[in-house]
Amino acid sequence: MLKYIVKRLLVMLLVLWAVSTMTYFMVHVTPGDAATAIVFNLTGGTNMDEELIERINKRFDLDKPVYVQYFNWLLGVFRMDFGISYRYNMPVMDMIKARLPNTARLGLTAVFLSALIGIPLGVLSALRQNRLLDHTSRVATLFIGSVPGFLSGLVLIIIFSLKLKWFPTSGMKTAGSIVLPAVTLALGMVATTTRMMRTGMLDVLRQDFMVVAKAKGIRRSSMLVSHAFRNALPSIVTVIGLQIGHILGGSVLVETIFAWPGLGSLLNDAVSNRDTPMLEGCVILITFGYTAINLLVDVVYAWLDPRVKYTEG
Amino acid sequence: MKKRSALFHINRKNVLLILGLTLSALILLITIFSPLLETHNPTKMNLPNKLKAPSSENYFGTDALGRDVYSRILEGSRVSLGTAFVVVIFSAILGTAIGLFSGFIGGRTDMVCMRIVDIFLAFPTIVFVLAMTTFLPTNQLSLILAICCINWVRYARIARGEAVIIRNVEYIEAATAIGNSKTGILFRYFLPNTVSKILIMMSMDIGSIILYCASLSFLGLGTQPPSPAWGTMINEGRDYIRNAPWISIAPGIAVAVTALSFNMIGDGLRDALDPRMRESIQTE
Repeated sequence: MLKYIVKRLLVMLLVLWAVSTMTYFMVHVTPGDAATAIVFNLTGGTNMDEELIERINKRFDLDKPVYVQYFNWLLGVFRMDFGISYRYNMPVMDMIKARLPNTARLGLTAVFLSALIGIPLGVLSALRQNRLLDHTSRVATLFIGSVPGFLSGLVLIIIFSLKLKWFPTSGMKTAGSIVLPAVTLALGMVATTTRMMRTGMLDVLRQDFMVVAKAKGIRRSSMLVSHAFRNALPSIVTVIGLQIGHILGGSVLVETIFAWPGLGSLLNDAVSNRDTPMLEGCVILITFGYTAINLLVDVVYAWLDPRVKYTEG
Repeated sequence: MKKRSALFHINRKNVLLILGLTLSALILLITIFSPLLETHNPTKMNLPNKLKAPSSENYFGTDALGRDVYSRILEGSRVSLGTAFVVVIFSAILGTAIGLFSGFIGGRTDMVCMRIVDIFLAFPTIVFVLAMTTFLPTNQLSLILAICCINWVRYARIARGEAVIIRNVEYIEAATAIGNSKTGILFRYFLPNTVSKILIMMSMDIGSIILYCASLSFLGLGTQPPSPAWGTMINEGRDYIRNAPWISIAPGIAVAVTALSFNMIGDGLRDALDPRMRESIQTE
């Protein structure tokens, strides 16, 4: 087990290095003079002052050769320092640190909501396989899963904030602000959660030990609690892990719609502002988080289900 | 009695598949014949007629520039569906080629290929596409390229998995023994054995690619105005949701219905063909 984890961590380090490098060269290396482009983007091309361009070159080390810039930047990444934002002239990491708790709060609320609906629904679906409840839940979740997040977000805004005035349309000023974005994010995950939980539970119910338990005459309720639930735990872990992964990508859209001050909207702003250091910082941190969660899920899964072999990876 | 294949025999289990196929075929027909169905010129502005509610003249109302939302949705279907199909086909071809090759050669090549796949799998799709499009011009081709660049890995993993299984089957040994060339074996035995799984994957993928494209054009990537893409239209209507919600809602419903139709095919196929696939293929 330990060997497996160490091996996975080493592979992860390699992947993260490659991800950082790829992101760097994808985003950083733009044709033409970088400093001129920054000044152009920030001032809208109205003030192309030579001296300003020179100062920006100095401040962001843009006059050095690319490989020097790259190594300096990579050293910074190891210290969790992603440089200074072009747009805000502040350390990228400080801004990310300020935004990260908001995304975490939104994301965890959404995971909780979607697990609250999806896990029981998936279990019930499995217990009533091919019955009315099962079909209804499958069609309903498939339908909900096909609605893009921005549409459900807009519909929720129209109904609950414009018509009923229950929750604010955007921002994070009041306690109720989190409700609409969290529900929107959760709606996008419910389908996957329910489906995976149903499949996981069906697999457990098909096992021989369930037949034996039934033959022994154990009551159905205690059979489900003591046998089925324990064996469905790995599925639950996978479901939750996948959801957290989904949040990191899905938050870009939802945070943009609701102007939620999190990592996703920061990333989207960085794209529209061409704020390269900020963009790199966000992409790399999101990717790190995503990879770390995937690894964690695999490890917990292997720990919960001793039949999983550690050879792959 | 004529024998029908189990797949198309209507029963309770694959009613979803049949429904999905019917709806998708209908949507494809509408897309192909969209110029005949448009009631107005989709890009023609008509300012006196702006923000009109849905009526018999403008089925889904008009937008802030007085353009007919219904005609724009039809026009946008070509962009949205066309993009999704191109992305799925290209990423399937690329992924299958790399995956098969990797699994077929094995050894170090395989390891390197799989590590490359790991790198791409580390990115959430939207985040990767956002980062990649920063150095590309803002148009639909860039969007297609960026999504293909990350989407191929899912196909590569499946194709590679199949290739590894097939490699150890006895008939491959026999085929080598009777003097088939490596390329011959690859095309004659490996490819046909992978195709069915790749096709299932494609049918499941198309719904999510439609959603990704709409999300990304909602964020301002891809086709630029005045050319209508569904995501762009929804974004344009956001400022008017208080008084003219149809500008955003109508194209939003178009995205949802299309994605649902294709997702029904994917879900139905998953159930009808291979119950084991349920676990191995999961979209985010």
